Amino acid sequence: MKTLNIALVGQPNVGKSMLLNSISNSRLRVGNFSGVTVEKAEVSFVFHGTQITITDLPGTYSLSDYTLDERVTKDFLEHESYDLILNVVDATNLERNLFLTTQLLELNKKMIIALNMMDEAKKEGVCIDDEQLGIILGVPCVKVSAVTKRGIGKLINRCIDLANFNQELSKLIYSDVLEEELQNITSFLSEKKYKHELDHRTLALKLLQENKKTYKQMHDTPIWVELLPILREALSHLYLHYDTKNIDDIFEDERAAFAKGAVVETVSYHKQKSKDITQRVDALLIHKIFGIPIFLFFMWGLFQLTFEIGSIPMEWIDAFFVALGVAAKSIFGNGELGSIIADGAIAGVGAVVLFLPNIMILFFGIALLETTGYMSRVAFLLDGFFHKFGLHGKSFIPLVTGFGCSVPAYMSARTLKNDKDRLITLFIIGFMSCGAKLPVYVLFAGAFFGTENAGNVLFIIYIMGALIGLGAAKFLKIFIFKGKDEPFVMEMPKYRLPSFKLIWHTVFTKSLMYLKKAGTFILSASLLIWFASNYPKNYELQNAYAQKIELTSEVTQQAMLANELNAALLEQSFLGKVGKFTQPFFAPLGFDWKMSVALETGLAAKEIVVSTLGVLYALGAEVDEANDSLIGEIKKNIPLASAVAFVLFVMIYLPCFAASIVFAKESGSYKYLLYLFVFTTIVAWLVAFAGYNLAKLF
Amino acid sequence: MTLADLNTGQSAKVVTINAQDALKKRFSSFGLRKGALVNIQAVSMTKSTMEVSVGATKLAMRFEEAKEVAVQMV
Repeated sequence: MKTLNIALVGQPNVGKSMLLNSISNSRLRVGNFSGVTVEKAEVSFVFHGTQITITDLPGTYSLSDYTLDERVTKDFLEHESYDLILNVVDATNLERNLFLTTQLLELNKKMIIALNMMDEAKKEGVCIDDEQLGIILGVPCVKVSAVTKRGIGKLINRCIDLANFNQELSKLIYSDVLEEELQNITSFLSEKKYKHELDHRTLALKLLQENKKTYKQMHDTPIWVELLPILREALSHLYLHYDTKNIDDIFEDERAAFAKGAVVETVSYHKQKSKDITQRVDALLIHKIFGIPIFLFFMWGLFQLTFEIGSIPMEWIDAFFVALGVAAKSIFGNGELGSIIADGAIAGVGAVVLFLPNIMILFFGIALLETTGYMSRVAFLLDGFFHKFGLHGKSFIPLVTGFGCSVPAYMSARTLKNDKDRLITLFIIGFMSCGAKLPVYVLFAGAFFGTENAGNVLFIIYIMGALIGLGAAKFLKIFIFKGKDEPFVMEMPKYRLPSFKLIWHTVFTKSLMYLKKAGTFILSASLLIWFASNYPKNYELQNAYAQKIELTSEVTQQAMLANELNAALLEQSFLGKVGKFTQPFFAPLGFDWKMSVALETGLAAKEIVVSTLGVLYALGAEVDEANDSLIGEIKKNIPLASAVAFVLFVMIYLPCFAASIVFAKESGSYKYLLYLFVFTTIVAWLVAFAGYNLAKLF
Repeated sequence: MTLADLNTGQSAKVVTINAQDALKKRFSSFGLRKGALVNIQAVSMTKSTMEVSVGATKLAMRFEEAKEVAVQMV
């Protein structure tokens, strides 16, 4: 079968994903693979006997390497192999879109242009002569609408046709001045019969653009001696004509002029532009006074939804995994096998799958924010405040998401285009207490402050975490990721109704990825913790207790002895040894070895902190935060000052294992994970130390 | 006179852009370059960010960035 590889390129917000969705439709086989930090999506399907693969590249305004997305796209276009470029342009904003097109034309690849959003353009009275535009650009232009699916079939057919024909040369024609210089160099190269992989015009263009690679290649060839004066003269002519010595500027001007010219010749406006809906909506949503309250209301609504609606299926999932664990024990017995499956694998994975509903709702909300265009408005509203702390307006999405779960929060930090902004945001996401830390807070707040004050204490804990996070951001900005502030220049796209099919698709793929993670490394981590807390075995101890248990007939006595045995076994397990070994580090904070171990198991998942404390304080592993006797034990065994320090430490230290891995992936290096570990541990230790000593005063 | 000196609703023509290369290119990819017509759409409460329209594009930027764009009232 014939194959056809298409690179899908376009500026952000031109409906690229939507178009891809319409093209592939039900034949969809999406293989979402994440690159180092930014995702490229690949879609593959068969059309009229041709195997078509489309790679959806990150949206980019131009082919420079200003942002990560731009770099990914540029690298792909320049170094990967593909058959043709499908350039999607927004028909309602043609001139700006064609600016990218002119850069794509210089790549000298087969290309086709999809004039998307024709339906919208028609409504606005924009009329485009696609034939004429195709002639001017030298590449076929097809009018389509991803929303109404008009022109999609034609577009695919033209792609296949184009792939079968020989490549036509780009028709990007510059101004007379530039063309004349190009002609001079080209004819010189032709006269000398210079051999090169590129044609002479392209080569001349690269020479004038001061392309480093071309200069390097030609510098050591004999032709260089004669070429140099011609080149020098050409450049000096251009400098004189454009009144600048910046060749980049000159070419930017040329491309802009070309794009403008193309629009003037092919676009006509049939009626007065209809009223600007975006402007009217913006008058409210980015209102000086009401803008921020409206945003806060939306966020509040999203969180209500996340936790209210999310808690319904959570109960079912919880019941399901409990039943599964019981079933596993009845099938595999109460021995080692049953224990590793039920207490290790099922309990560990179940704890993570439990949060799937919350995560789906949160992703739904974020996808909605992104696709409607509201996100840029929020960034606009919040940038002033966030900027004071060295953060970017767009940081708010990951930070707010961080209150739910750090995993999606790290992933949503991708919306930040600048590396430093993204890194700072990634580093402080952990300061926003995630849902899994809640059981720990509830336990300690309940133990020391009683039910009536616990709510307020919780609120203070959350707020304090966020404030320390902002402080940490400022610190990172000043001392670590220093340097000039990156500019904040961002498009505020038109408001558009979201496609629910597309949103569902995003939520679905993200959820699938989350589940896949639960099934892979959460599973292995759970098994590891299970192993470390069950080995090495001490049969003498077990036998001694078994005899004691047999001797007593009272049930409560038996249960107490069994709990005591568990605690004793845990103390001499690998995990217990680790706890004892690391206790000196935590001693200044007033933690005993049990609390130290609880913190260390918490590195796997924060939920485990509570269950570890439960086991260690000899209550058995069946403990949750509502268990009154654990609260009693905590009150009895842990002084208030240590408890305060413990809560503060949990609030700040490294997020769970799953989140840490995602952090490493999103930051692009395990080096940063090490930094995060050191940074959060130091801050957590210092804050806990301060808290401990302050609390001791009372 | 720079973009940062304009009030909401005012229009102007870009004379020069004094920004560094990266920012200049970024502006340019949005259509904000010499000769372009701009209009101030909105300004945030703390006067830290502004919304500017260039052609069919609406842009958000900080005042710091806006200061690098020299304009002329039309």
